[in-house]
Amino acid sequence: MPMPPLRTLLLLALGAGLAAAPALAGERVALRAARALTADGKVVAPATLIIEDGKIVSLSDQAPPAGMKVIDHGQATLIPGLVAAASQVGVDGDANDQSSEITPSFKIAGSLDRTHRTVHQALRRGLTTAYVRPGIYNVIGGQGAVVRPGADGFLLRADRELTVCFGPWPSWGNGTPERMGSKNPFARRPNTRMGVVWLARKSFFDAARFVQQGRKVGSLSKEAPGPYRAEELAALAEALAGDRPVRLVARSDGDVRAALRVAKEVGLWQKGKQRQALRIEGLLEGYRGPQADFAALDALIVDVVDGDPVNGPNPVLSLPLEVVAFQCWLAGVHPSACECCSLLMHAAQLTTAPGAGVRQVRARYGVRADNVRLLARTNPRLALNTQEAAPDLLGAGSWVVRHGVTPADALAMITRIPAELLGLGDQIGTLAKGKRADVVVLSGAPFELTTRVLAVYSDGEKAYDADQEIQR
Amino acid sequence: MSRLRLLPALAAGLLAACLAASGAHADDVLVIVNAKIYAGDGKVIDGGAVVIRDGKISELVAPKAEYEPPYGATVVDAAGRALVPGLVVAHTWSGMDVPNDNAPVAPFVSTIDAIDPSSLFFASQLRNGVTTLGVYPGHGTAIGGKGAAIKLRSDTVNGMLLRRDIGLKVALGVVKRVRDRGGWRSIPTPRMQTLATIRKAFDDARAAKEKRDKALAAAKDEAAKAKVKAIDFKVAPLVAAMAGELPVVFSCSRPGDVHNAIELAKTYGLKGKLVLRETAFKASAAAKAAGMRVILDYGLEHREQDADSDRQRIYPIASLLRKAGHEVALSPRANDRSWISGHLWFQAANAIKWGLSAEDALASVTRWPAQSLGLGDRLGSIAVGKDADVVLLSGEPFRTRTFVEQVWIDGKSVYERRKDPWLERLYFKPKTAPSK
Repeated sequence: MPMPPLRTLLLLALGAGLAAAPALAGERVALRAARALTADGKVVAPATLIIEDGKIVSLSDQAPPAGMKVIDHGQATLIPGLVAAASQVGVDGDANDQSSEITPSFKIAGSLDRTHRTVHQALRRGLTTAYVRPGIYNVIGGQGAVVRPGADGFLLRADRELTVCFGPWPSWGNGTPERMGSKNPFARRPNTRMGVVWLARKSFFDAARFVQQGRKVGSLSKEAPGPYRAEELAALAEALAGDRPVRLVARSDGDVRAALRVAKEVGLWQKGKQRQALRIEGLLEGYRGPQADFAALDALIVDVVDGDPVNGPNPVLSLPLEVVAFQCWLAGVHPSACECCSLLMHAAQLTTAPGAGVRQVRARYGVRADNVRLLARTNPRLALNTQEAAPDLLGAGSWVVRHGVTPADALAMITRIPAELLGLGDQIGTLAKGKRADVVVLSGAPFELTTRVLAVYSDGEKAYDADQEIQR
Repeated sequence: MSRLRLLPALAAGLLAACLAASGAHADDVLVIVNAKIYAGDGKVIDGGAVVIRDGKISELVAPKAEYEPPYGATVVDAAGRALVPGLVVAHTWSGMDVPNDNAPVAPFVSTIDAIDPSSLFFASQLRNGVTTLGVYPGHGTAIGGKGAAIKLRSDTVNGMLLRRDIGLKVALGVVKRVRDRGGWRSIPTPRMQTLATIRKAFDDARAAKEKRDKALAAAKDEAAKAKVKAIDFKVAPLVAAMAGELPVVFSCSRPGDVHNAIELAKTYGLKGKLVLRETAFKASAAAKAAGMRVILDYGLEHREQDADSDRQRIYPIASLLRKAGHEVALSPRANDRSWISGHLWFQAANAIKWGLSAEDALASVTRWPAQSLGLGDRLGSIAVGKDADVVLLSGEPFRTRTFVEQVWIDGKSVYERRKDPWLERLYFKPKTAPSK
């Protein structure tokens, strides 16, 4: 149907209005603030950050040239846009496909929705780039994606990294047909930690045989669980060949050691080829893990969980089902109203009352307050994470700063290091010339509990403004 | 008193006598010198000294003043670190095994019978600088009972007790938590029912009081007066509340609850205070007009989503209440040891983040809650004549890296970070030097 010209014009005008007055091509804008922390050790005070075409042109303590458009943030502090190394930003619905425990060819990019509430939440918390990985309820959940919460394009790239999970989560809710009824989709394996390890190992060995057989599925099992399609086996084979990064998700010390054992057995860990793209995420008990192995890994992504092991009475912080419920609670949604939680609770035959799962599924960790400080000694390529859909990285930073990490190191752990880990070190992560103009404007020093996010710039455009949503 | 009960009392007495003898030489004088004193009433004295005698603050010494501590006094060098008043929790229902009575109307119960001095909540609060708490019944009972003010200075309830019967708890948005299939479930009680229950209880109490007054008036002589039955103990607290002798603490979770509280206070002549939970802060103007003090529950920011624009709106509650003219008291989240909301100092830092001034934030965890407890003359600031409840911090107040170094209650040291067994055993060796 031909569109009436008037309507076209109106739509065009509307589109231009929505784009929030973009800076014209070649126009330079200067952000002024009391100081800027570049995340690679430099402090510039006062700070003038000049932006052109969404890129940083310069950062200096000089006043901007006369005639340039200036946005003055007064006494604020500028830091680079935060980068989440693990998140679920923009995932609409469940981040785990329940058709099988092994879904290496699935891509989380297919689940993304840029209008999802977690995208705004991410911006409010200062995230301008986030790695979205599949959930942890599959043994091999699939491939992640890199998103830009503040940008029109949102999906920066569909990533190749594979997520492999260890611990109780992949088996959570699974049971025997006798207990659950044979028609229940969760009447399946694995239902123990050892089953999870077995399945991970089997999948990679299957992939190796798949390659040996000339990339034919051949005699391999064609039934779930396990990789049974050529594309799945191919994805795993790429990881074995070192062409595809792998992320091991393991939280307790036992799970971490099991994950590293499997990685060594199946050939993901090659001694001669250190610093390959093998990362580990979780590490709640990392301080007592195998330090030499951590040093040889590409990167560590450490969960900083809410809780007060120093002030709390118990050395063991138990994180039962609330690990699931956690994300919902923090997002302000009751687990019963959250698809993933209610599904999981239903599967595990739990009520939706908070804490109801405590007695039924229990994961216990010996959490130590200075975990991150000790781990950073073994491998300085360490990024922070909080197990939330849109991680509160500044909050996680406050926690580690309170317990011995210097503020400068903590800032790198939520900006520069995760940016390098995503292979975007040349584009984001610091306030350096030529990089994307991703800037978080803070009311004070980062990691102070009295500081809040005032505004967020993504590619030089203001993507979040706290003044617009705070009731005065 | 049986001999069995007398024995421990005797032992305690002996012990107290020994303790007193060992530390009594300089009249129990403690001097904290070289401190940055945040007095809690707006004054900041950098490099001053606090002189504590017999559990009270006897002198504040200005910086650079010629001051010689008395011979034999215990002198503590604060090395320029911050000294703040002991933090005060105006309202909590933690520290008890079961905070709610099973009956909907139980004005006659008192939390002193339920307080568990060995509760880890108290240990955790002390480690975070709290010295005084107002412990009230929970909000699962319409008329919950009487609260008590305690100091974290002892391991017995009697030793902790500062003042009993500091207020009567009335919950307007009653949420009952019941066990359900191995977990807990919350059941809200209809407000109509709650209000009717509360009104009936007060009406009955008023009738009982009038009946007794009438009988007293009819009695011809003293002998006849003595024969008139006293008011039933189950009703007496309500009568005391109507006489203005027992303040009433209303727990509100909706703005409407605040209006109901004001109405109840007017009808029955109650002296009321409000605990604002959830969205109740929206009635702050009405509360101010009615002259009621407010205690803010742990939630410091309220978020709403506009259904039309999908845009979120954030209400920074503490600063909105301050703007409405309230002297707001902050509270720690109940039974929560997480650092996010379980501690007053964190609540204060968070309030500053949302726009409260640093001075008001300190007042909202010291002076204002003390006034809210009716103990403003004894607690809440470092001033001459007040109780010597002071907290030495490792750095500036409300900073991320600041820990509580030492706590004194009534001039006695009750907590030292470097001797804290939990910290030593489980985590790291705390540094005694200030963390910069």
